[in-house]
Amino acid sequence: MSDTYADDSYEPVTNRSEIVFCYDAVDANPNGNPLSGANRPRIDPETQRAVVTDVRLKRYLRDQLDDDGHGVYVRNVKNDQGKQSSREQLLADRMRDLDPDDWDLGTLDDEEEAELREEVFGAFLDASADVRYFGATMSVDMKGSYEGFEDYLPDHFTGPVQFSPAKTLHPVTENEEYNSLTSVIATGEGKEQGGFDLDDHRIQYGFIAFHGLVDEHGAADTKLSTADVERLDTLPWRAIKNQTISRSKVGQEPRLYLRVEYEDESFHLGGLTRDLDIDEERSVPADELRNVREFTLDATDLVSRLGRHADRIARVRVVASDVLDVTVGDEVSTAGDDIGKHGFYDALREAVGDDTVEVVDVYDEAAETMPE
Amino acid sequence: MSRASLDDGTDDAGAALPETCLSFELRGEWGHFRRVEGNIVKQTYRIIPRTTVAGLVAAMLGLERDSYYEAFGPSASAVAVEPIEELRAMNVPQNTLSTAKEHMTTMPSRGHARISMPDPTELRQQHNYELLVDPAYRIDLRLADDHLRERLRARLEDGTSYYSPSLGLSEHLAEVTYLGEFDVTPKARETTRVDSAVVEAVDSVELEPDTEVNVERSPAFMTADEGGRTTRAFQSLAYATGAEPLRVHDIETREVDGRRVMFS
Repeated sequence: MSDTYADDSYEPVTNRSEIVFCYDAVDANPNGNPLSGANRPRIDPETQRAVVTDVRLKRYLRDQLDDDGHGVYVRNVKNDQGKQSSREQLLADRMRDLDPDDWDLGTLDDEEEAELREEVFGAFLDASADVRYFGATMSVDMKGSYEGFEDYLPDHFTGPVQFSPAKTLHPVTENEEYNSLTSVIATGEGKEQGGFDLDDHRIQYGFIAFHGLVDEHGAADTKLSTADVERLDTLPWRAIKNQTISRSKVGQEPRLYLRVEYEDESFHLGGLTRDLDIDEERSVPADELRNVREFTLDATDLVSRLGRHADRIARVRVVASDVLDVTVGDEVSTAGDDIGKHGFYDALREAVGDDTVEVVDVYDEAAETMPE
Repeated sequence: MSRASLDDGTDDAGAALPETCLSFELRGEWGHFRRVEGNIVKQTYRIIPRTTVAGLVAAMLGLERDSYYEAFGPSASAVAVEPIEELRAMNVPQNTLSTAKEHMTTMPSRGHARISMPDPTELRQQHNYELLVDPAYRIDLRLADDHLRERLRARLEDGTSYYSPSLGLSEHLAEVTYLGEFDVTPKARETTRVDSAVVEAVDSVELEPDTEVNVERSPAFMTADEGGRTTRAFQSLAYATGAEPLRVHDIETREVDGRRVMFS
């Protein structure tokens, strides 16, 4: 595989990964619909399952990357410390430094093309973790003596890391509307209802399953490194812990993370979240669900599917919440006596092999993936 | 596009279509095939457009963007699409960064070599995306190019895909299941039930109670040009939203795996 960028300092991704990431929401609005009256939770009208977009998850992940001190290009707010402009500055500087006389277009070999890309975009990508993961839109405009350079430069970055919009594994119930917000801004004495469209809509409980993928071939286009992929083993977990702090987002907790790293190039099983289900026998009826202790995840199909394809799996990186009950076959696994032990890990080991399963120690490992 | 023109064997690639097709199932939790005439509301086609099938197969094979349109041209390829689950969509509005020129930041602000990116500190635009929920199709694909066909067969048999397949947008991850290689048997003009979407024969569909029939006109063929690519032809597709077969009068069909389909 020829390198897309001339940078020996990073380790390119060589394996494809498929990700399952589950979190739950208690009395929260995991993803409001901005076009509905009061930012109502998104709910599939036919199945009554709540929906959370990939855009929402990526915002959490970007905010966590930002907090961790990694550079992030797509931000929510203008930053007074000028972090944002510095990233734009990086690109501006590289473009100013680009000397058309240094490049004999038309005769560039692969290596020289990689050098050109590195010169224009390398520093920007190194400083923009979110672009390495999720890509970015851009346009390249070359005129005068720079005519032709655009043929050698990408016109967009496709994100090698993709997450599908997620659904809850079960129908959800919306809370009754209540007016704790409107009372604050009552429009007049004796008027309980002050504002308009300010009712607070939440779901009572939702167990949300995201499906993600790391494309090893797309990875080279954004300089996504092996370290970036390993960072994913702690990033979504900490993002849900740390970034769900606004009024409607509290009450969300990470419950299960699984990254299946495949052995063979170009191979992945696909649709791993479709192999997850609510264990209806061991959970309270869906409309009565209020917290994780009333919920049991059925991972029987997931574990047996991974087991059937064990020979194509390099490793499974996994972490489960100690209060999540997981059914695999006839057995219900719960946390063990020790932190870091969960019956689900043992079920996985049995299916794909002891050495294949690696339990993620979120906080220890997170420290290792911080910027230097 | 007449049916006959697809089989005359005098195509750009210089090879006749094989008498067999490769069949695979394509499904995902979400899909979005943006209707070209849409603007603020991002509506979706219900049937995966022929051009999207070509793009998806090209991604599986690792073909470069804008490099594969001839191989999927009208005489070099034939595609039948059968919806296998109810076709249903829901609205999923999203806040997105605008790529309109006035919302792009250009770096550096002066000079002849410049790069523009959406300004991430601008307010987001709200777009109402109509997403397909749990879309699933069976694709029967005939490719004249022996080399491409064999590469695709190897990929399907092995369950591999160079770039990861998706349904319209890259975040709508897709699952591909190989069903096998099947004979394609031409059938004389007749009235019959058609399992695939009905191609360019909307007026011949017999409407029946309890079967909701829709028609959409979607891109069928593309060609590479200076600016990237252009849609060369559209086609009209009729389908039942409940994914049932449609009864169609006086049409030519093909039999594949005990089913009746129409290729385009």
